Amino acid sequence: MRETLVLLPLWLIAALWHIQLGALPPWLHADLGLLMGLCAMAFLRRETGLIFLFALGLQADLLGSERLGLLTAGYLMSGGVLLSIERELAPAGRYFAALAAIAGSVVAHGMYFVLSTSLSAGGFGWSAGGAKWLSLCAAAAIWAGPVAWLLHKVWSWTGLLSPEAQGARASRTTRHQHRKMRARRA
Amino acid sequence: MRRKKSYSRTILVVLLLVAFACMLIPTGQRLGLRSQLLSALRPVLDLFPSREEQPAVASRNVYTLEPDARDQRSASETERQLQAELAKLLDENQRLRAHLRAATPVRGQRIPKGISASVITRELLWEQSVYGLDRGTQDGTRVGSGVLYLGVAVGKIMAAAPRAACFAPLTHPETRIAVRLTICRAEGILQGGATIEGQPACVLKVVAAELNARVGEWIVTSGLDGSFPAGCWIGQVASIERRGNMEWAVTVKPACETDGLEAVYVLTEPPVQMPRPTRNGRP
Repeated sequence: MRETLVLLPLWLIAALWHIQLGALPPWLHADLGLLMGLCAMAFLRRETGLIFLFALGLQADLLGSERLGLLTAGYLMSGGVLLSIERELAPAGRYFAALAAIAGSVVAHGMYFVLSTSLSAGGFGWSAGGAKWLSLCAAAAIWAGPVAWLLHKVWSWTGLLSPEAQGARASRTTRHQHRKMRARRA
Repeated sequence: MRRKKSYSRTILVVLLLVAFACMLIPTGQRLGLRSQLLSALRPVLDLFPSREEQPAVASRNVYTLEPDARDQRSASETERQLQAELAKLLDENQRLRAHLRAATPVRGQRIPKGISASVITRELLWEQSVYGLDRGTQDGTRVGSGVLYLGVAVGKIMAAAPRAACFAPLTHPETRIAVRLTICRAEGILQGGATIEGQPACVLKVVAAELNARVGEWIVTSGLDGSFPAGCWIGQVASIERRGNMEWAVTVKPACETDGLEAVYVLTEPPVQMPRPTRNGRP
C-alpha cells in the first residue's frame, strides 16, 4: 500500500515529463521513467522495483514508441542485467545507481533503436536514430545523478528503501560520523 | 534468501513475456490506449499554462480569405493558404465543367464543421509521427476525422478518447486518404511511408491503364472516404512510376509540414450516409 502511494505519483511525474518534453532543449530530453525505474531497482526491494520498472516501461511505450512492448522489454532487460551486476559490486550505492541508470539508458534505448530500425522501414533512419540515441544517453548522463540522489532521499524519508539500501545508508552514516570524530581529534 | 532470488527472477521472466506479448497489439489499439492515457492526464495537463499563444488561424473558418488587419501571419502561411484556395478552386472548376458537360445541376461547396485543437504531444522519445490533440469524443472528434491546417489536409484522427485524440499526418504509414489529381482527374488512395530525398512523403496508388499526370500537378481530396470534403489541398506530384500494367505509384510531396504545428482544425461533421439500394421497396 505504501509502495503504491509513493510510486504512483512518481509514475505520473514521469508521464508528465514525457508529455512536456517539447519544452526542453533536445540534449535535456532524458527518459526520466527509465532513470527512475533503474534507481528503484537499486534502492527498493527487487519485486517492487521490477513492477515499477514494468509500469514505467509500459507508459513510455504507450506515449513514446512505435511498437508497444519493445521499450518495456528493453527496460526490463537492462534492469535485470544491471541489477545482478549492481547488487554484487556495490549494494545500493547512490553513485552506482546513477551509473547503472546511464548504462541502462544506453542499453535499453540502443536495443530499441537497433531493433525498431531493423524491423521497420519507416520512422527514424540510422543517422537520425543514432543522433536521437546519443542525445538520450547524454541527457541521461546529466539527469542520472540528481534523480538518484533525490529518489534516495524520497524513499528513505518514506521508508521504502530495501534492507540492503538501509544497511548501506546506516554504514555510510557511521563512516561519516567516524570521519568527523577523527577530524575533531586531529 | 535463495527462494527470494528465484521469485524475483520469475517475476522478471513473466513481465518480459507480457512485454513481448504486447508487441502483438496492433497500431490502432495502441493509439487508442495512448488516447485513453492522454485523456486521463488532461486534467493535470490543463494545470500547465500554454507555452505560446496558439495561432488564430486554426480557430477560423479554414475557407475564408477576407483580409484581416490584425492578422499577424507570415507571408509563407498566406501564400500556402492562397495556394490551398487556388487548388480548391481549380478542382471545383474542373468539377463544374464535368457537371456542365453532363448537364447536371451544380451544387455549392459545403463548408465543413469542425473544432480547433491544440497539439499536446509531439515527438515523444522515439515516436515522432503521431500527435496528441486536446480534443476528444466529448468535443465531437471521431476516429477517421480529417485534420486541416490553413485549409490544407494534414492528417487523420487515428484514435479518440473522451478528452484527447491522436492524429497521424499524411506521411504516417497507416494513413489512407481518397484523393484526386486536379488536372487529369485520376483518383486513388494516398498513403504515407514514402520518402523524397530522406524527407517523409506520401505515395498515391492509381489503378488505370494510362495516367496523364504531370510532375508538379496538385492533388486534392476526393471526398469519397468521408474523412474530408472534396477539394482540400494535399500536395503536389513529385514523381510518377509505373508498376505493372494497371498500377501507378505517384510520389506526393505534402503541402504542409507538420513538424511545428501547434494547432489544427479537426472536422467533426459525420460523413453523409448514403441510402442503401432497396429490393422490391424493402430496405
